[in-house]
Amino acid sequence: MTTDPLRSAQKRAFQYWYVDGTFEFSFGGLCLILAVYFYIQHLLAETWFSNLLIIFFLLLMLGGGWLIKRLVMDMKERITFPRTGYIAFPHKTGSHRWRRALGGGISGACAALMVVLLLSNRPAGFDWTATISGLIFGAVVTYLGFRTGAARFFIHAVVSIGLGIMLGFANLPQNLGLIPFYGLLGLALLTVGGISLIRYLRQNPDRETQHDQ
Amino acid sequence: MTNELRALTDIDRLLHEPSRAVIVAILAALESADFVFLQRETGLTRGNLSTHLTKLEQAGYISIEKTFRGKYPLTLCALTATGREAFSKYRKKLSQFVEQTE
Repeated sequence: MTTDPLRSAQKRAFQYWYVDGTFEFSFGGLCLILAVYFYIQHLLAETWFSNLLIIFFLLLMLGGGWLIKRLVMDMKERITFPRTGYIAFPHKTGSHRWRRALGGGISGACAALMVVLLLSNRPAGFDWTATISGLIFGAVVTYLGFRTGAARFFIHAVVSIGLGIMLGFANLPQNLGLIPFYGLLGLALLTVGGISLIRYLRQNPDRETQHDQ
Repeated sequence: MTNELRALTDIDRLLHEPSRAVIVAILAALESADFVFLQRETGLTRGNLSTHLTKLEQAGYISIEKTFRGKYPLTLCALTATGREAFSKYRKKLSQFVEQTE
């Protein structure tokens, strides 16, 4: 149990960020966009348009984090902050930012290496692409689950890893497994996010007339 | 009275009050928080919270900015450098005392 008041306050503030399901809404939306992207890529394969789609994919990957942050903030400004209050986290300073960037870079490089190794030695009859996506997303949400103490993140992890493994065994050709993977994961995220949001709204009714100090 | 125990009498009495210690602990973890969030986290009444915030502001430990976010009024509170230092000293002193009296 955390007894340090500062650590406890930090943990509660971190938990507060995920209390309303807005993260799942934004991330679920991004997953659905990815599913649509992989579907269009499949339809337009072998055409000149597929090159343009690769650029779109790179932009989506680079801007995805920023987009999620923006969407979460917009939803919080409309829904959460007026009801249960506003908080801002400290900006990461020089050394912290570098440490995070370095950590992210190393994790990304390890993940990329794992993908290359697995795909170059892929066993027949098993699609590793969807499985790896499921494992990576599962690891991220498991980490969030431990940090926030919210059980629903472990549900996301189970869904993600389970879907990845099932689609691995389904072994759909030409990375088609990524379409149901991101589609179903997106729907699962939207559903759980929606339930969390409804629960949050019930517990914290609109304080239209209840003004600040 | 031993020196160690005497040292406790030097403790920051402004922070050595449960409600104010909680307010400062919350603000130490954040860049800023508004009145509604602090009220929800501390469980204090509006009047009580307001009184504690005023005391902390007068001591220069926190800054209070009244602003608007959309149509909602927002009272933003943030720990100042003085407040951060005072809280750090307070924590050190408390943990020293606990260690020495165990």
